[in-house]
Amino acid sequence: MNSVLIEQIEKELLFDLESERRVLSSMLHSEEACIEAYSSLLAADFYAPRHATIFDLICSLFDREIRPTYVELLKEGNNLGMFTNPRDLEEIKYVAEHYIDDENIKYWIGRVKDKSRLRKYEKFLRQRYQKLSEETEKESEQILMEAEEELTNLTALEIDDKIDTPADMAHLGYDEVERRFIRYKEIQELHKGVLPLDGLPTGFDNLNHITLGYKPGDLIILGAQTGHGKTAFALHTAKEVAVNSQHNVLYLNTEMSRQQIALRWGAILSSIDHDRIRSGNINETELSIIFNGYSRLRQSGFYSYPCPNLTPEKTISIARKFRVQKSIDLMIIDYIGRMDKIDPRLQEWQILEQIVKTQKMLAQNLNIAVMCLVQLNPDGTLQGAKRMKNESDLLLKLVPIPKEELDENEDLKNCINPNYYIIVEKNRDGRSGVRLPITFDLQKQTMKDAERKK
Amino acid sequence: MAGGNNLEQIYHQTANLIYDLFYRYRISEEEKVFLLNLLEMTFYKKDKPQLLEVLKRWNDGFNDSELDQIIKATLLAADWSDEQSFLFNTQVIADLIDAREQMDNEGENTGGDENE
Repeated sequence: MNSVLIEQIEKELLFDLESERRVLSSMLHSEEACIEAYSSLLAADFYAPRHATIFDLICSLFDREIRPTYVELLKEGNNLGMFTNPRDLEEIKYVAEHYIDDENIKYWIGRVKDKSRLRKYEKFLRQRYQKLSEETEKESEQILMEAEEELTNLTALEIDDKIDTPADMAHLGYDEVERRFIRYKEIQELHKGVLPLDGLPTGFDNLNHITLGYKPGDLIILGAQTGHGKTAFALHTAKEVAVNSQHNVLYLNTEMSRQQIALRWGAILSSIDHDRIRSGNINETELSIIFNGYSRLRQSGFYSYPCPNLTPEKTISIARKFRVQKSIDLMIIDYIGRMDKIDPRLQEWQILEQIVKTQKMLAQNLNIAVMCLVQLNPDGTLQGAKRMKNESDLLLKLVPIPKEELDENEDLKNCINPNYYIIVEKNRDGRSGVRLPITFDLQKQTMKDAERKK
Repeated sequence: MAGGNNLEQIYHQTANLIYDLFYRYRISEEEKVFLLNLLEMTFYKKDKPQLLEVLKRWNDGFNDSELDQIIKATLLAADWSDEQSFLFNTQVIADLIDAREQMDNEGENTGGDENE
C-alpha cells in the first residue's frame, strides 16, 4: 500500500476530531451528557492525546461531584501542572465552543467509539502483518486461528463484555461454593441456624428469611393499589437500608413534593401520626422526638430525587450519577405508572414492560438492587403481570387482608393486629407463593411483621 | 447551559483573559483563583448577588487607597464557598467601603473649607 493511500485512510477513517470535541464540549455544558459519556467512553477512545487528557480531567471532576465547567477544567489542569501556556488555553477554548444540543450526545459518542474500534482494527492489521513477516516458520493454520480469535474479540465484544473461559467458570464455581460452605458453618456456629442476609435488609424478618435480602442486580417489583401503602413500603425499605443499616439509597418519587416526603419521614422516624405532624398539632415533647428522628435521617444514606417528569432514560442517567458519586446500593422508583411516556403510540402494558426491562438492565449493569413500585388494578391484578414477572427477580404485592379471612384464619388469629399481606408472587432465589402477614399503621406510616401472640 | 451562545463566548473569553493576565504576570495566583471563582459564581451559580453589588460599589470609588488594599486582601483571603464566611466577609467589605466613602466625603468637605 502506498504511503499516500495510508495517509488518506488515517485521515478519513481512523479519527474524527470534530466528534471528539463535540463530546467533550457537551460534557462541559450538560450534566446529562457528562453522565452518558462517562459511562460509555474511555480516555483511550479519543484519538487526540489532548482530548483524552481533557476527558480524564472532566471525569475526575465529576467523580468528586464538582460540576465540570470550563473554569473548573482550567483550574484542575492548572493544579496538575497542565495547560501552562496560552496555546493550551486556545485549544481548550476551541474544544469548549463546539457545543451541541445534548440530545445528540449519543450520536457523537457513537462516532468516537466507532473510530476507536477502527483504530483497534487497524492496529490488529499492522500487528498481524508484522507477525506474518517475522514468524515464517509457523503453521499457516495456527496463524489464521490466532488472527481469528483476536478479530472476534474486536468485532463481537463491547468493552464490558466478557466470555468466561472454562478456567474462569471453574474458578467462579469454586469461590461460590467455598463462600457458601463458610457461610453455612457460620450459620450453624454463630447465628444458631438463622440465615444471614445475602443482600440488603428488607425491613421484615419473614421476608428477609425467604429472600435473604435484596441483592445487587435484583429487580424488585412491589404492587399495591392506590392509597394502600406503596410509598409507605418504599420509605420503610429506605429506613431499614439507609437509616438502620447505613447503606446509600436513591429514592425517585414521581408524585410527591420534597416537603411531603420530608413530613412522611417525620412520622416514620418518630412513630407519631402523620396527620398530626402535617397539621402541626403536636406537643413540645413530640416535637423533640420528631427532631431526634430527623437527626437520624441526617446521618443516613438516603438521597431523594423528586421528579414529576421521570422517564426511563432519566432514571438511567440519575442512577449512573449516584452510583459513581454516592455508591448507592439501592434505587427505589415510586412509582413507574407516573413515568412519562416515551412513545405515545404504545399501549400502557408495552410502556410498563419497556420501563421494567430498562430497570432490570440498570440493576445488572450498575450492580445495585432496583425496586419499582407499580399500581395494582382494583381487582388486585397487575397490568402486564406476565411480562413484569418475567423480568423481576422478586415480585411482591401489598394487599389488605379481607375481613372474612381475619375472622376465620386460625394462623392470623394468633397474630397481633395483622391487616396486610405481603404476597411473594415470584422469588428467583427461593420460595414463592407465600403470604406474609404484616401490621401497617397508616397513620404513623410504619410497617412491621405481624407479631405472634405469646 | 446558562445562556445563549453570546453569553457562552463571554464566559470563555473572560476565563481566558484571566489566564492570560496570569501568564503575563499581571495578576497573582490568588487573584486568578478569586476571579475564576467569581466568574463561576456569576455565570453558573448566580447565587451571590450581594457580593456583586459590593464589588460594584468598591469599583466605583476605587482609588488604590490603603482601605482599597485592605478590601482586596479580604477578598483574596476569604472562603467564598462557605456560607458563613461569605456572609461575614461581604459585611466586612461593605463596612470598609462605607468607611472609605465616609473618608472621601470628609476629605471633600475639608477641601471645601480650605477653598473658602
